[in-house]
Amino acid sequence: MDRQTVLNGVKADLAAALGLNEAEIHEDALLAEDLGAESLDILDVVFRLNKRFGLKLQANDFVKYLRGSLTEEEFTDEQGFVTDAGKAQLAKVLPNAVVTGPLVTKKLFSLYTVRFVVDVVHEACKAQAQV
Amino acid sequence: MRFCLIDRITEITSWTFARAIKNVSLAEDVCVPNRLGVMRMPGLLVAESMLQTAAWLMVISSEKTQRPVILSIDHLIIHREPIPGDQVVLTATIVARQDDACEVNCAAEVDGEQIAAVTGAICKLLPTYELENRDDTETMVRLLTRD
Repeated sequence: MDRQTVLNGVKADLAAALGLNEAEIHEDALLAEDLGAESLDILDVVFRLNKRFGLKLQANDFVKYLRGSLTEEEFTDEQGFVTDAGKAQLAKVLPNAVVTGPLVTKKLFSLYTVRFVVDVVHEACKAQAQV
Repeated sequence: MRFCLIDRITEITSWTFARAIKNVSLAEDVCVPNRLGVMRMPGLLVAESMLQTAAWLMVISSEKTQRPVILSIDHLIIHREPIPGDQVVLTATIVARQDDACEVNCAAEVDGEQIAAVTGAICKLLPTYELENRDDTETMVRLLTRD
């Protein structure tokens, strides 16, 4: 499945879940700040994406994708803050994200962009196609 | 529990399906007159009954370790409101599931005719250890399932 198809599907599902017009949704938009999404909205979006693309994504898969090859312990310290290694990884996955100062893992959702969601779903579609 | 809007769970398949009944009686507080003075159970309470059926499905399926919080619903349709003497048959079907969330469709029927439906209810599952009195939950499950 090509990326454009995934992008169109993600836009449609975000619009339906958040009550927006698809035209308002662009790839660099932040889900929380620009689209008004709350962290729990990701559950609704994931259910819709799973239905549309026949996937078995979990909301937690977005965090796993953010972590990349880092383990949970390498990504987050004992107090729940993203480590320096974690921040370096974030910069790779979310190059436009502005992270200043300590970042709590619970706030990771505030960094999600439409592009990031499309990337995760696109990867999941590719993995699904190989099964 | 003072706000239980189902009388009995008659069928349950873990993490899949539940059927319950609600007998509508004039003697209950849930029956109130509409604008024309006709006593009926308001449609929104029927919606609550359907979602309570879904909630018990999840509580029982998780062996009382999880309880749902409804985050959103896609559609709610109320065709008619039940009146005293009606037996409302409520069904809840889990149509999709994630680790800590479910999507549920529900329906309510009287005499085989659908009177209301909920589709695309997104439920977040929370741990039950935060509940004030878990024994009440256990008692309610036994009462509803006649276990």
